Amino acid sequence: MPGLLEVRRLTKRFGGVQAVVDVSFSVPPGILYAVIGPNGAGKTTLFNLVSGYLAADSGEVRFNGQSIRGWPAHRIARAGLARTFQNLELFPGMTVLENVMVGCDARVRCGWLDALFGTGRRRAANATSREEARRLLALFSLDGVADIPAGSLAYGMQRMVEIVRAFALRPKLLLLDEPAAGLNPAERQQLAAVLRQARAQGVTVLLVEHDVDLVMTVADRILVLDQGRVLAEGTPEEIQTHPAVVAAYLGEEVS
Amino acid sequence: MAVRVKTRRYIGMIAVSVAALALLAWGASPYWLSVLNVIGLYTVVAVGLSLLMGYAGQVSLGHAGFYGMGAYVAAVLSTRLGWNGWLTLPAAVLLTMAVAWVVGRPAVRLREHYLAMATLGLGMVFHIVMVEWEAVTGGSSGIVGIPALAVGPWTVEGERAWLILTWGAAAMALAMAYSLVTSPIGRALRAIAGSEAAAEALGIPASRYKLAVFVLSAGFAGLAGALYAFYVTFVSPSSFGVMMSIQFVMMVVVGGGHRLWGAPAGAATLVLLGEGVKAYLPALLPGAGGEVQLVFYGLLLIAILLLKPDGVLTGWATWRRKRSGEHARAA
Amino acid sequence: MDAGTMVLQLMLSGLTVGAIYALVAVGFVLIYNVTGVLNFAQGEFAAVGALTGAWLSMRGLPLWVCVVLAVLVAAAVAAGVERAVVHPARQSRPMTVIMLTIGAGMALRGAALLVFGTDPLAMPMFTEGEPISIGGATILWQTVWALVLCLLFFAALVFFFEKTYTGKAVRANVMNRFAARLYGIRPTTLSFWVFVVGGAVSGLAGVVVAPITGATYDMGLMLSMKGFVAAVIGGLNNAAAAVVGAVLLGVVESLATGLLSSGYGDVISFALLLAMLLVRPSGLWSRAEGKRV
Repeated sequence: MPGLLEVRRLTKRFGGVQAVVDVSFSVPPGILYAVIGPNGAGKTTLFNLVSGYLAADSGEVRFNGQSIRGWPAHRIARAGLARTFQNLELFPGMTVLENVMVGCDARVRCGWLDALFGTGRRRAANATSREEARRLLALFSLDGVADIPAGSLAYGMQRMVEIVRAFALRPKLLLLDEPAAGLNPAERQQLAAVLRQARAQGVTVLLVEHDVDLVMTVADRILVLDQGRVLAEGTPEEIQTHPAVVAAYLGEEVS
Repeated sequence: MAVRVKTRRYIGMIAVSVAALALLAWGASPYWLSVLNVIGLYTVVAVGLSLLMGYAGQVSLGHAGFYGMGAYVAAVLSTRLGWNGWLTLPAAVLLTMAVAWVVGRPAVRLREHYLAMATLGLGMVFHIVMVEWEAVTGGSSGIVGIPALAVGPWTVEGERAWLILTWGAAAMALAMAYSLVTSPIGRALRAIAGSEAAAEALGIPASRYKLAVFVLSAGFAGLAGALYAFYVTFVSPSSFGVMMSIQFVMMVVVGGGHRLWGAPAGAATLVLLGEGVKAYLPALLPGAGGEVQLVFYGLLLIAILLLKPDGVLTGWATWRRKRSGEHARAA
Repeated sequence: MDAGTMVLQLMLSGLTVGAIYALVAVGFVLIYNVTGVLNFAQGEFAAVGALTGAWLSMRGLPLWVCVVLAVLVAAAVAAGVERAVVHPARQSRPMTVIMLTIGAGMALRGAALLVFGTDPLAMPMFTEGEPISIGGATILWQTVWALVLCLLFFAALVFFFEKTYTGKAVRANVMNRFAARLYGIRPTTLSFWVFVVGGAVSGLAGVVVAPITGATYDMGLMLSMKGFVAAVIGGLNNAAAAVVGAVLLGVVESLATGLLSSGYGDVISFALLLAMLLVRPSGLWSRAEGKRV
């Protein structure tokens, strides 16, 4: 069965540095797929290549049966591939509700002429997005902060909002870039709950993560990158016993 | 940053504004009526420019060029080609928008200063063309004898009649801008201003939206310019120089780009400042001319941007917000 | 004069203009790459240099003193702009900084008008004597000066960046702010000094062009524009490419002015800018780059 996301021999160099070399993997629909590796292994570069924020030197990216390499980021997003950022990228001046509404807006119909001349379609679009955003915030237990400016939320809370906002696109695949970074244990619990909720809604998740323990507990399959190359790929059990992984990376952490 | 739009408050403000305008129209001298008309026209330009500056995060230093282009299109079509005046208005708007699209398309994809420089250059080129292309533009003496706009037997003449057109256009521009910023597209524009990367990740084509706002703002300037041509009945290049472009930018800076009423307020401030300088400067500094104005505007621009980057006219709104205790919403 | 000689003549005068644009463009590129600020007041520094030089020479000072003082005054003005306007706004949005440098440019232009008036100030050529004749076309000694000074400055720049410790530190800063700290240089100090150098080189451009065109208070805006176009042709991040771009711009403009009509030189240079933005926004000589993030 072909994967929802198929990456074939993807390569990216920055000057002389090989950031991602010949990376291939396949994400089947419906699972939580994690990419791990030490700092500088090329995880975020891989993410940016897949989501259209960087142009690959060579290789292929297929999403949902289509070749998406070279597409602009917004087109990839519209095709059903949503992402979050390692350094939070909320819209700080807008409320939490408005942030999530921007995600919902991708699915409403309101053109420039509707917007300028205040047609009924504009009114309907606003109502639909507002309702949908409220529903999502309730689903993820964030309705308490709906009317607070996103920039004034606590750090961990901002991460959750960013995930919910990406989720509002109703993506087929959700790319999360180190969502646990900077979270305290309680917030990590909350994050795990959010991830479970996302999966319960039938969304495939691709996760880049530094925290190996978290990955081992939530991921269905794991890809290990080291210096831009694939070191290993498999289920958490396979990864934990993979000799190359144990030697190169997990050795000191999983003993 | 965020626009707090409260429809009910806006309706109140509109009612007060209309009443004030009506009162002024009834009581004011022709001089003050002409000042009001100019403020109305500049408001149309400033509304478009504040969308560009406050929402797309870009600045145009060539809006006097679009304003001038609208004026010349109206003048040339109505005098040389004998078009009906009303028909020249959409022609002026569409042509300025087309030019803005051509210039803006490559520039908005790059960093902010490309559009700034490209529009500055465009404004200068418009000016040169107005002066040099004598066969069409009449050179530096311009085009005179632009016929009055007419509705059936009734022609739009006199300052009072013009108030309806200038402030009608201003009201239309404000209403469109209000409708835009409170739509999904307005949210997308605020999102782009907040984080372009995140906006793209949510499916918003950021550079296309920025281009659209730029083209829209040029269209507003073109409309205002065309109305201006009929209002003063002549056009000449001297009204559309680089200084005028910078004055348009200052209107937005003074009013604050994120509030819609900032545009009329900024336009009024700049027009009144200009009139004040014209009236009182000779008495204060005998022999001094435009140079003092230039220094003054330059320093004013710097002072506002460094000290009150959200616009000068925020004091009252902040005070009100504090009084009504909306601390949580004040971000 | 036959057509061939005329074209040669136009190209030679284009070379002069190009050398002047080059000095302004190099100032642009330096300041932009070190501070990230695209300085719209760049041409005003040249106007300050031209006016100061011309004014001093009319007071009977020796020419070399006038030139040195003009460069120093322009550098000081640039330093003042950096401290008063750019430094306080270093955390602001790019759009705000653009408008701030425009405000600074207006204030400088107005101040120049207050001090020097509207009439152009004349300045003697650096070297008296007959123009040199090349194949029927003539070249002014002042043109030779412009080219020599441009080359000298550029050589000094290359020496500084390639051979000195501080120069290497500045280059490190362009690539990575953090790296510059490793060299022990504070970015804010660097910002100050790059404005000083950028102001000096623009001042030099002004004082060199003054004997040819005269010095007027409003010459700066056009020079800013042309310096920017030249820098864009060069890709905005490469001083050498900007110099070539400037010479190219000068020649094209001179040919357009001579062969078409006097007013349209500026239109041509703007058309060139648009074409660059459309086709090669990263400069005429750069290889294709990845998409920016």
